[in-house]
Amino acid sequence: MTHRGSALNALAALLGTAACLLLLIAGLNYRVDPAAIFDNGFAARENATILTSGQSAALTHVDDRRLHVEVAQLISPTPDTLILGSSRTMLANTQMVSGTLYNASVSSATLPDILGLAEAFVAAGKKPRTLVLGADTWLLSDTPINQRWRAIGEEYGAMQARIGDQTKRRTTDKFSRAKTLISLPYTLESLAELRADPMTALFASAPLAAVDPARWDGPLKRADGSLRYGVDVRNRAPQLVQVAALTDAQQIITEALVAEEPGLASADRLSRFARYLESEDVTLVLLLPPFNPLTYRAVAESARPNYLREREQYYRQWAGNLGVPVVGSYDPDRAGCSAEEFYDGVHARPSCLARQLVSLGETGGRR
Amino acid sequence: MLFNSYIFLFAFLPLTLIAVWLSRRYSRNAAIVVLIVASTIFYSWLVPAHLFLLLGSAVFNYVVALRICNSEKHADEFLWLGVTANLVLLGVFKYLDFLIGTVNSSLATEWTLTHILLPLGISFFTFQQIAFLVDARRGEANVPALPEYLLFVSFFPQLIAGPIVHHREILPQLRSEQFAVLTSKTMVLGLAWLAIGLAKKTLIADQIAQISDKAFGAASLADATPSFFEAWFGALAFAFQIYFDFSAYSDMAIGLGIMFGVLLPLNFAAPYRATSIIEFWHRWHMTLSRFLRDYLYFALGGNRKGTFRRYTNLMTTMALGGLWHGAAFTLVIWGALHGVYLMVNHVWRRLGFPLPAFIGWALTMMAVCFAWTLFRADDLDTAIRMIEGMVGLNGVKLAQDHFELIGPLGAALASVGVVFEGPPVVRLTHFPLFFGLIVFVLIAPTTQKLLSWSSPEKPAFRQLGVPAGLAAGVLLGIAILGIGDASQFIYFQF
Repeated sequence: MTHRGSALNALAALLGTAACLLLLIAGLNYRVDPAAIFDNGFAARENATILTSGQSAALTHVDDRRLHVEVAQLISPTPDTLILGSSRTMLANTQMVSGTLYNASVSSATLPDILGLAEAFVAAGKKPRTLVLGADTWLLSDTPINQRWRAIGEEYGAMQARIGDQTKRRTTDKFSRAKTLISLPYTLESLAELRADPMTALFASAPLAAVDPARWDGPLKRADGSLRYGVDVRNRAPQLVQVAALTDAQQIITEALVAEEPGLASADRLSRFARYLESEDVTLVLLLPPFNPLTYRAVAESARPNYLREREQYYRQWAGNLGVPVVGSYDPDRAGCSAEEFYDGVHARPSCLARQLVSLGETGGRR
Repeated sequence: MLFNSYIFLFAFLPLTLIAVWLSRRYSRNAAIVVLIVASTIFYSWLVPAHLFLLLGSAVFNYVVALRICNSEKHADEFLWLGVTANLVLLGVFKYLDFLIGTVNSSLATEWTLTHILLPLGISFFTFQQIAFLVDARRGEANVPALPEYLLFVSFFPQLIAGPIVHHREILPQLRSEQFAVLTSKTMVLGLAWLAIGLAKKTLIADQIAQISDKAFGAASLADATPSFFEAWFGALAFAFQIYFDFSAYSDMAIGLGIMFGVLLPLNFAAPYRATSIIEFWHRWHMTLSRFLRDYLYFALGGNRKGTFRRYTNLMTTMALGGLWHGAAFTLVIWGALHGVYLMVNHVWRRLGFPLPAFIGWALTMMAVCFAWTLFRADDLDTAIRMIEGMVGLNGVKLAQDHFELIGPLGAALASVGVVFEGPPVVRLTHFPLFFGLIVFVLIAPTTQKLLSWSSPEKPAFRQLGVPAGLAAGVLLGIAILGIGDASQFIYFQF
């Protein structure tokens, strides 16, 4: 064989092997699908059944957006209070408010997520009396910070129609899903499932069971939708909490330097949503989840020191114009939260969150 | 754009290869133009405005080089103009805020920081062009056609993190018959280099980064007292992170160069096998060492003006080399510390007491790791806290749950003063990881050895067969899995 032929064969072998390997792994990940991304909602429905039967579910097998949509179908009776927000409000639980509560917060929530989830409850005829909206700094960006909302794109579109928002929309997120199929963490999860029970992993949908909070160390969702972090986060070393707080500060400082001003289209959409809720006798309350004092101070000493204050002021002004009550504050001093009441820079412990929600009864009645 | 991103690997690279292949069938110049266009897209992907800076700098230097070559009378003035303009550009974009901050803290002034975004690769393309101007003045460089010069400066495989290429090794290749001729041999070799580099980055460097980030993050707290193990684990983790990160980038750059028929110089030759600091600098960032030697150390007089001047020149060169890496005192001290190491090494050599290889290696590794703490720390205080931990001033402490984890060894360690308390910042399980990595860097063949590269001037590539293709394919597939959310290469910030 000539050298050229040999090199050509080697090239074919190289490209062919890499392609076959990636296809094989993508196939394995698609089949095992440890986070149930390609299961057409099976895991979300199973987990929703667990939660609405009053039990807790492990968080490893589900898209939280789809989960809450399924819960909206099954939950009974309709909760008095519905919480929508990001991971920063996920720990709010039913003990923090009077009456019943369901927390449908999702990770890195954007405005399309909020509207889509609200639609799920409205469409299912489960309109709460109070809707608490956790307002993050990025909420009113006209370019959502991630595309996860596309998992509930249909619901988002329906709410847009309901509130008279005619903005064009896309409702799929095929690229992100495709990337997952060739990601190392997803492959490792698939392999772990395969090792534990090959037959189930490959040929059957994993039976999802409720978990006992007393014996489960990992993160879990309680029946009221609230999150309990895993033991590793709950018992995080104080130094690591401080490091996380400063790392988060760095991210916020970077965000602040490139952040768009609150988008007109998003602000208009949120205002329409607020007016719609008012017309339906649902009380909207804006919750500003506090930041760790370390993080808040670090941002205040950065190149854009007023970023968090500006955002808070914007939300307060927006709420004031529409008569929407506000609870909490990004400013930990104002919110009355100490550095010990945080898991990192942005996620408050339940004690801090409870302090923000304690006035819900009063604020809810002001409208 | 990052080499370790889906957009680069699955869109930019294949499209560029196809465009170059098609254009090369037409002419060499067409391929040059296609590569310039591709390089500008690559460079402007994150901050399009910086493209004007790159092209402006290249055109300016080209004009100055022409003037130097064509003007006997004012050649020196043009050289000074060119070098000064390059240094001013670098100074404004890279060092201005550092200068303002230093003045503010020293004189209690309140000058406003500019917060100028550092353009990617500015240190690399600026140095490359200064070298070109100097050589043009020395009569050692002929000014090429503008497209060739633009490609020499902007060739995307080496544009943003080196190697720092010399015009003598690149420009002749752009005129050669092999340039941009895509063959199965160059493709398979290039892809093999790329696969090895990508694997080093995604599977090793990015994973170890989590340990070093934790340790240095914890040490950055004002009241931190990193213990002996925490500090050493952090320093070791960073030593391996930067080793695999930098070596990964160099491999990928060389691989990409090969695909387009351009051999880039080796930049990395197993530096952690060095048994002395002098040898370390012959193996680490070789093209920067070469630049600093040829255009700074020699320009200062090198070793021609006596021992005192020799060591002064060495210290100056290394301190400025540290500053080249970034605008921070920690980096200047890092460079100066290596200057001291080199001086000690030279003096020791003159004394004529050769150390056994193992002791030389261990001392070199310790010295290098020690210095890396300055390189990695965000500020001087953090570096000092880490160093205090490394020399044992904060005691030897392990997390409480490690006591039971290590069985009888726990009691033994406790009896010699090791304290077990609190939750872990670093874990003992890292110990075997580091041991494995040390063994790996000591005995695993380097990429150049694996692919039979003898030297940039005289590459004697192995004829890769099907088994090698299969192995490289597996590696490429696994490495692509590790991409995830692409992380930056450490050297991109320089």
